[in-house]
Amino acid sequence: MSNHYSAANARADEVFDALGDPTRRQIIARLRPGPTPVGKLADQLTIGRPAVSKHLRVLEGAGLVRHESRGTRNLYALAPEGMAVAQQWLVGMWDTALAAYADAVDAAVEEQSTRQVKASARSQRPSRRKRTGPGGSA
Amino acid sequence: MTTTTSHGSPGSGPAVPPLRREVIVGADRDLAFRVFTERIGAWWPLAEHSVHGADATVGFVDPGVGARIVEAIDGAEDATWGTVSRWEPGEALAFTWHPGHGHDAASRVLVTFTTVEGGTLVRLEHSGWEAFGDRAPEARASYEQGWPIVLDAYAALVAV
Repeated sequence: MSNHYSAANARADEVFDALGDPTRRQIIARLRPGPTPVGKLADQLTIGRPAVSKHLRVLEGAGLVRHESRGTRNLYALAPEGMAVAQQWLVGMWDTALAAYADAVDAAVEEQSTRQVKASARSQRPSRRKRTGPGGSA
Repeated sequence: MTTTTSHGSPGSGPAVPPLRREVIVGADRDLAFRVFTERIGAWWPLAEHSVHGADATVGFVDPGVGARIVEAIDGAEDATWGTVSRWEPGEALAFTWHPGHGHDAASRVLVTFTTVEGGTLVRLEHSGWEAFGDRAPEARASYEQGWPIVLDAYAALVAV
């Protein structure tokens, strides 16, 4: 059901791989206010600037951020195209969840009817203790 | 052949509608609602979509308006995914949605239950992030501010 494999999903995989790292998710969060220079990101994240640059390259490769040079400064910003990937991913998430939910409803219905069958079976039969008793209790 | 796909063509902007999904389940509305809420821990695909992965549990805590959807696992802090704003058994359920993030980054989910032949039609609408798309024509910047809300949600959902 969730195997509509396509280029879009491959792209989404790339996005998730990029986001699988907590530092990269922190970078995404830090970029929310707007374009930010690498140096400032490095200061905020207490990891070395080369490490920040490396993470940024991965994020950029996944289409999640883009960069622009202003003079000598290299600014990084969130890439709006991420929206399309996000939307597709959300559709996939809800479809998976709702399919599992529908199965759970089926299971609940079955449980309910099993309970009813058992209950009616019980009411039609004398209790086991009496039947297995040694008979003649006079 | 001409290609008309472009991101944010000036003046119109990318229309990003609320996300709508639906499913028909083979039960009456009350049971459908109960399974959705009481048994979310059994059906939610935690392995793929959670903060802590397959070993976590999720549930509606303090059912009713104000209930929180909480993911829990031993050895880590609980993660609140959202807070219920409508709790109408057999009718509708609405909650904010911000897995792994503060409620300031919340989008909204509305689930409605309608009787149809053979069971209940369950409609889900996920919105609150599309508005940024609508504003895109005026300000590309606001669009850029918008998608991270979703991104945050799904970033947090990717099991690390």
